Amino acid sequence: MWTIFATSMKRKLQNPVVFVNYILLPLLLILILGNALSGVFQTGDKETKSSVISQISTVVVNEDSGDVGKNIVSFLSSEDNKEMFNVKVGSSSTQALKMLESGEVEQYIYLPKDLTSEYENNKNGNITVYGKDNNIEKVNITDLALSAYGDGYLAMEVASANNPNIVYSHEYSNMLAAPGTATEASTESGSNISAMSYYGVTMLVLILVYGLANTMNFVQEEYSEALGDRYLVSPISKTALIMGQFLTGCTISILQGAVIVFCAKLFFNVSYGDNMMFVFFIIIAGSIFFNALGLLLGVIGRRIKQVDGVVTLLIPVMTFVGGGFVKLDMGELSSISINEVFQRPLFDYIGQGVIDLMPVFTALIAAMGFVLIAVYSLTRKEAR
Amino acid sequence: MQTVFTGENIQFSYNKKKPVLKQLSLSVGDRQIYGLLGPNGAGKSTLTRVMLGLDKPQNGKIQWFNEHLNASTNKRVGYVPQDLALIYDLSAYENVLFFGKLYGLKGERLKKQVRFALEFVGLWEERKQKPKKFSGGMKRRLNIACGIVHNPDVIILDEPTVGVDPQSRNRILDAIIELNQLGTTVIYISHYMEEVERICSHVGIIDDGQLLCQGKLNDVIQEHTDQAIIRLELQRKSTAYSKQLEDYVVLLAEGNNVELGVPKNDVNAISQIKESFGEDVKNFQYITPNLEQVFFKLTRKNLRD
Repeated sequence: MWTIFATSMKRKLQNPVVFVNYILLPLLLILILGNALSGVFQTGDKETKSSVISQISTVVVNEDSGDVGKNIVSFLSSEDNKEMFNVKVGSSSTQALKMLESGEVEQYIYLPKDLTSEYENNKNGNITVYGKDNNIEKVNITDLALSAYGDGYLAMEVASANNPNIVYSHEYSNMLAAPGTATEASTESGSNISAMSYYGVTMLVLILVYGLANTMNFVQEEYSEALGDRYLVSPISKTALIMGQFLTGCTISILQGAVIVFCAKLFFNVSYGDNMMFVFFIIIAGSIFFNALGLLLGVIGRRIKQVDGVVTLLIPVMTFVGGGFVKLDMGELSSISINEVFQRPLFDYIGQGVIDLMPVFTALIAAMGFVLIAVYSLTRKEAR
Repeated sequence: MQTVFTGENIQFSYNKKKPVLKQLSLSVGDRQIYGLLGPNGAGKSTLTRVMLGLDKPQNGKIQWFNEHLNASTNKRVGYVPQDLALIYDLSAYENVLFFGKLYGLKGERLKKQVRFALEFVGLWEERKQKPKKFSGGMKRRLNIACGIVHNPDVIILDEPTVGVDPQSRNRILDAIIELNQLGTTVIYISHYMEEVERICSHVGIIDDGQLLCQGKLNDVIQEHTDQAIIRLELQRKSTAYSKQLEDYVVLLAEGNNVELGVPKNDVNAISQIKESFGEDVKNFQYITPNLEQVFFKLTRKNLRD
């Protein structure tokens, strides 16, 4: 086993192509993506993104004869919302549309004549906001504001069922962010993980996922045709052959993971939490899992050639999933997704200091199974 | 003589419909150079894989040194596959060293054996080079060095001269004879008749998954040939001699050339032919019975078909 391991490691580290792919690639990955992402997400020490919405010039046409239409116009024109909306009241839909077309206003809000009765009868109203594509953000904000207003209105209706005056005497608070207010940008909803940490973690997991393809290809190359036959007719045991290759794959993956973490911390000050031992445990566990899976697929791929094609096709998918660019909603099976098994424990630890290694231990047990099946599959068909 | 390999009634098929090896029995004695001869697709490589335990026969018994295959017998057998089984990102020395280690060699003995193997195939001077820089013949020789580094009692060489130049081929064949003289039993798989005739002491002819004959090379030739060949180059086209040719077994009549079959060692027949064609014979050649005739007689095929 040690002969196979030592020789394979020597071969990999001596080969410039392999060295570039295995060690320099992760380095480049973190440098390129890190730089790109730091430009997007990082401003000074705090990773925030500001969005400033200027005052929205608006024309409102109110055909509703009831109180809801009247209150909405009043709400939009209120002193509190003046910073956000510059409201003109239009006389007709045609006139309002012309104003929108000419650019005199940025949006047009139409309140239909049955708005109040619809609210009272169906708890629903059909307000239309017209805008242009280049102002879609503003239109969306107005939509949100009106929707919130509607919800508040209904809530007050319910609360003041026996005292209708309350509704009309209530002052609605400003539901919109004032200009200049910073909006926190976080890619991991519900957590306080920064964007750089998020990609620091996902790039780490991505490089571990690549261990699968690396080991699979290596096993296929080594055990196909004549070279594989030469290994198999030697007196060395199958377990030793397999473990030698497996150990090589794991070592390379651990090296890659360490390079990623080191560079992410060095160049981008990415936080991986206080205890680096935890991160390295995840690196080791991920290396074992993905290399064991690659080992199994490589051994199976010797006999079933289609396996290679399937894995090749899956590499882009693995890149997107493992790299955290997309998340697969696997429903009931989410507990076996890469995101849940390897990324989630790191996020939980970095974000909340919580250590939950159960999914990782499960993956390690699965990895043992993969190795055993790989050893069995490589069994020589010995003559009786 | 002690038997190093015995295979009895070996039956093997990749799918159950068409057997590749059909109740094949084979035995190889100690210190022989056993030539396994057969056309492409005869089942030679499959038989090799079955002998080495890489494929499991559906039926039959295989023994090396009177034992079933095990780690101990594996150590005593060397294998040089037909395709090059080299690690191209290691030097020639490192290749041989690595395979020596796989066979359990260590320390000084390992170094000594690596040197022996590389010197034996004439690659010691080039030991630091990587095989990707080698010529086809050098790669073949390195392939052999990797198979003999552990000093096996038996070496199986599967078509070791395919695609090499005549000079490298001679070198390889000489090395195989020398290896045998050093005490190694050689199982030489080939479809080159002249190579088998040149180096082998024993021969087995395989075709369509069956062993058609085996034994000492000369015995096989004697046993399976009943005629020699007279090759004549005539003054005129063979058609001009149709009357004379009626009295003989004509094996070939092409242009001015004729080949006639005559009983082995029949001096009268030779004199008679000379008389029949008289002054018209430009060139006369007596060809003693050979493996090619045996092969043709047994398989009704030319080896390179």
